[in-house]
Amino acid sequence: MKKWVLVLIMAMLFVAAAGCSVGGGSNSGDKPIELIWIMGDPGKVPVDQAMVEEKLNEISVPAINVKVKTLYYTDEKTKLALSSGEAYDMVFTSEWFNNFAVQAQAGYFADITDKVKTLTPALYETMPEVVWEGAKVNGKIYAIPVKKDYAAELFWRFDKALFVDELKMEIKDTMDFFEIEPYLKAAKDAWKAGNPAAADAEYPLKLKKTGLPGIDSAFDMINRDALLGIPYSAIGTPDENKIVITYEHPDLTDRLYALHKWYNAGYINKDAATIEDFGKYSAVKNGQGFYGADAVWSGGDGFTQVISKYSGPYLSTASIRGAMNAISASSKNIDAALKLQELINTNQEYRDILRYGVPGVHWNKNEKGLAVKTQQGRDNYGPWPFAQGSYSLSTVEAAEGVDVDPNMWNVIFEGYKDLKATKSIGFAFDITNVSAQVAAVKVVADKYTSGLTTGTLDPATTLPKMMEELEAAGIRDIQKEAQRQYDEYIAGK
Amino acid sequence: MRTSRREISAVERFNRISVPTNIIFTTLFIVLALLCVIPVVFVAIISLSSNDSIEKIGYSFMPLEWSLDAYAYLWRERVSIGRATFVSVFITVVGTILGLYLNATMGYVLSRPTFRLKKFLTYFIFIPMLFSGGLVSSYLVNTQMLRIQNSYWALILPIAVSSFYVIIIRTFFQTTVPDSLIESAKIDGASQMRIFFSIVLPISLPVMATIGLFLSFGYWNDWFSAMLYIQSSHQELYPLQYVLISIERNMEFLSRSSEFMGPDSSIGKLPAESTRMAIVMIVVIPIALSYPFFQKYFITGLTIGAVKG
Amino acid sequence: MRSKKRFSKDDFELTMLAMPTVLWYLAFCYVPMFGIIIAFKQYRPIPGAGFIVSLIKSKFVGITNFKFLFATPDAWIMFRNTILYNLVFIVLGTVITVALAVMISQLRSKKMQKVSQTAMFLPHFLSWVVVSYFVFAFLSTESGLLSKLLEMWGMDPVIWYMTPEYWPYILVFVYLWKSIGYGMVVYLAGIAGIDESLYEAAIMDGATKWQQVKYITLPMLQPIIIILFILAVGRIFSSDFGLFYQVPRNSGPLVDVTQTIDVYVYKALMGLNNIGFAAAAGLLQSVLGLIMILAANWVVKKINEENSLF
Repeated sequence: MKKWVLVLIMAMLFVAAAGCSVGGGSNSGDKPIELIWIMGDPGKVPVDQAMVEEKLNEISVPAINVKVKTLYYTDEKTKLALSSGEAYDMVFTSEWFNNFAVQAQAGYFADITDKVKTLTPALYETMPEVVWEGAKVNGKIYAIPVKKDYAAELFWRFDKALFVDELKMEIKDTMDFFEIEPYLKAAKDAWKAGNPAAADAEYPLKLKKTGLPGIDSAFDMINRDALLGIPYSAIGTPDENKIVITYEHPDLTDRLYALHKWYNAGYINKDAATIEDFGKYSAVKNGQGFYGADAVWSGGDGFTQVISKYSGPYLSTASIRGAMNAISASSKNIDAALKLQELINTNQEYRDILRYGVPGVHWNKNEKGLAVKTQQGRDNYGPWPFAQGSYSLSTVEAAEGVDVDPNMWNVIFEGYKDLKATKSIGFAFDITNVSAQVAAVKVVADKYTSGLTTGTLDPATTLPKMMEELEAAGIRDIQKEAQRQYDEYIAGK
Repeated sequence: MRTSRREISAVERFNRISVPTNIIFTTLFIVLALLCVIPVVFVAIISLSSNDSIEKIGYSFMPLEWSLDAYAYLWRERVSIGRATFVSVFITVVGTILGLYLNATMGYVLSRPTFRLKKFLTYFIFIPMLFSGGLVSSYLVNTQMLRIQNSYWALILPIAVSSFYVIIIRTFFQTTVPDSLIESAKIDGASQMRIFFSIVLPISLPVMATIGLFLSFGYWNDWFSAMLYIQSSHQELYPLQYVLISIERNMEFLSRSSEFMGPDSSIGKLPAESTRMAIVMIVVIPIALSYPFFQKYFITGLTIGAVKG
Repeated sequence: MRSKKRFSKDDFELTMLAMPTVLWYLAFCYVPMFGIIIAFKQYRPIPGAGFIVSLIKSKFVGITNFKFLFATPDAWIMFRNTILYNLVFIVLGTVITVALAVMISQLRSKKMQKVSQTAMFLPHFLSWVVVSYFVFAFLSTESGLLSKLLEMWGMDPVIWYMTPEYWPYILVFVYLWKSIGYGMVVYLAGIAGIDESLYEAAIMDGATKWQQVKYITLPMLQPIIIILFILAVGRIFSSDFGLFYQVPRNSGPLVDVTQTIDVYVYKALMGLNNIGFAAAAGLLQSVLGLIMILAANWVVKKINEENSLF
């Protein structure tokens, strides 16, 4: 008995010796404040990070007396670091990395609602009011959105060599989701006929287990895990504030039926639901993008693509939250961090170094004013460019073989004049009361979504079964709770 | 009387299994061995396939095109991979020695029947086998209290001891080390420490080799400690497995999240499939080749000898 | 009345010998154990206060965090899967591993022994991701080797990744393939440690090979077999995540036969950051494991006191 008491005492002494947490970088007198920034791990950690940081500090120290130290963490490690109270100043957060809504509601991020307007008005002015709404939780701003294509636009992507040059088919600037069917058929027929341009088009629409990307693009997703959202088609109708289960609503299920039809017709690869990756080529692809994205896609995939928009521009909390940076609630340098964010979002020179690296070493500007990376830049400095701060501020990158418009961001933002948005911007669904059901619903959904969004499973038989299991897992409870919170939110506006 | 390692004793020669039985056994093991080696050969083949071939027909034993691209990439990266290899070798060697010391001393102490704290310490090491404070609290203790992050300690200490190993060692000591041996040494005035090092250890080489093996492989394969405790500002401490696994996990993460990341995700910054398999090769082969070093301690017929009478 | 034994010099020396390890356990196991409290609380960080203070001040919620494990209607399926698979692994694993260890130690050619042992070790080094690639290359409907073989023999192709019936066999096979080489090592070391004179005496009494195995080798291995068995039973509620998640490629239709508790927890908590739920799941597995180990140990004690864990 005595021995256990001894063990407990020793353990408690250790714990007591832990002391309090340190809130952020060091800060003493006139020395520059060092801010710690946790950024997403891009897979290959930038080897030249120290070199780039030195260059960055050359600008930030004279301007605002701040040095930056970037650490690259995986999603898992970021959550661990935050949970355990690790000291940091800024962190990347989004819907899909270090989930913004969850972490903000839990209290990890600093409330910058007032400070961002009074301390850094230049930062606040870089983006329209509605975008800042998307960074709000319970009426308070908890992160700085990255200025990029904040309204979601989805495009069909076509292999130019096959469809335009060879088959001479016309690809309009915009089309409907379902209008690709004739193209799929044409490609498959060309393959059957042995047409060399269609050699890889046995399955014109290749998919992998995550299914067709952006299948729920017709909805403003309130909570993806619980499959809840508001259809954009309901805006302006009496139902515009009704939260639905996407897998029950025709705006999604119609697409599932189409996918299944295409799967049966042989347009989608048979093993879609089991493969992780199908390589880079597919005669028809899709993706969330923007005007000028065809250059990026063509360069990245290695074949020229022509794009046609089928969805958007839709503004949603989710699209705004595609990439943001938050400041730690425990940081001792909240003001300095805000000022640094302002610098990143207003100073193009700084922004370009942050994105591309040291000029002359990692990249150069060409005659058209586009950025071209050197071999060293490609090998040794490759962070996520869309995560660091205003994407549109940085110099546009050139892409081989494609005509890139250096002014593309102006065109994109012009196009947002017609964007559609629900009233849910700024609403954050707090799942505390239904978290057990959300976890259970996730597991059930996981069983079926892959099969459905690849067209493998027949929606007619699968959807009823899936709904039955979802209901048993408590999805109606979640829906009711979400609706209740949302109605309150709308009433309070 | 000890049988020397070199000779096969007359007893053994007389005692061997019959030739037909041997043939059956040998065939069985050839089949099993093939079953185990073929996947590694498969990995080797993928590492030598061209990326085009992988894109067109996936993984296959007969790629459309062979290519050394993957290894060329590794050669370009030889500085960081070489450094990672050094880190892995260092922590494996140091970790195994330290681990053996910590596990064996405890195993020995627990095997002494008259030890007053025996029951207490047995429970003491047993409880953590089942109960753990979880990842968050371990992370907190290691980073905020012990402050071992970004150092070799973080790669060596957390996995140096396992109650599983301690119990195995304890069991071996209990069954193969005669009490009389220890008692007679005590009468001669030897301290427990001396008994442990000069008497017990030398006759326990099979179990030491076994646990040493497990420890070595544990260290060589460990990437989790690096992921948790080595930050990107200290890339020189990345072990080899971590380099490989972090690429794999990031690719999985990317493929799940790519639809949210916009067009940039299609810019392939990560090495290709063949390169990943090449890294698997350079992780697996050295450690597999080191196995014979441990093996000689537990191939029967090489009796380490036991004290008789 | 308890006899007062003096703490002898011997005891002191032994304690000193074990001290470094004791310190290790304190630092890496016992201090972090405060984390068990997380399972009973709804953690909310308090800015500037650090983790431990925030934890103490967080709301105590009793067993609420445990409920998410039982929220799905087929919660019992994952329990069933976990326990059944582990039972099969333990029984088959032990029997086959011991048998192979004995057999390999009898091979006439030392070289054959060494080579086949080294080969059988290799699967242990391949990560589950790599193993899943290999299994996929074998079973993929489009390009898998097995599919091509079936075609050659004129049989209908099977969409393996969509047909649950085969997977228990596939998973057991893959598990054994990966773990047997490694498991053999312990038994081989045990066999190597057996006193030769025992065999010599038996031979002089005219014992056959089989009798030697039955009356010497196996009984001498018994302590270690039993200990490993008890320890394995204690882990019966845990599972190797890589095997059950990566190898079936998380294919929807297979979920009912491949989902274990650990896979469920991973899927349910992915993307969220609910450390309370995670801690609750871990604690439940620990407590259940403890009960199992004590039960198994008690049974073994009844049969043969010496072989029990404690």
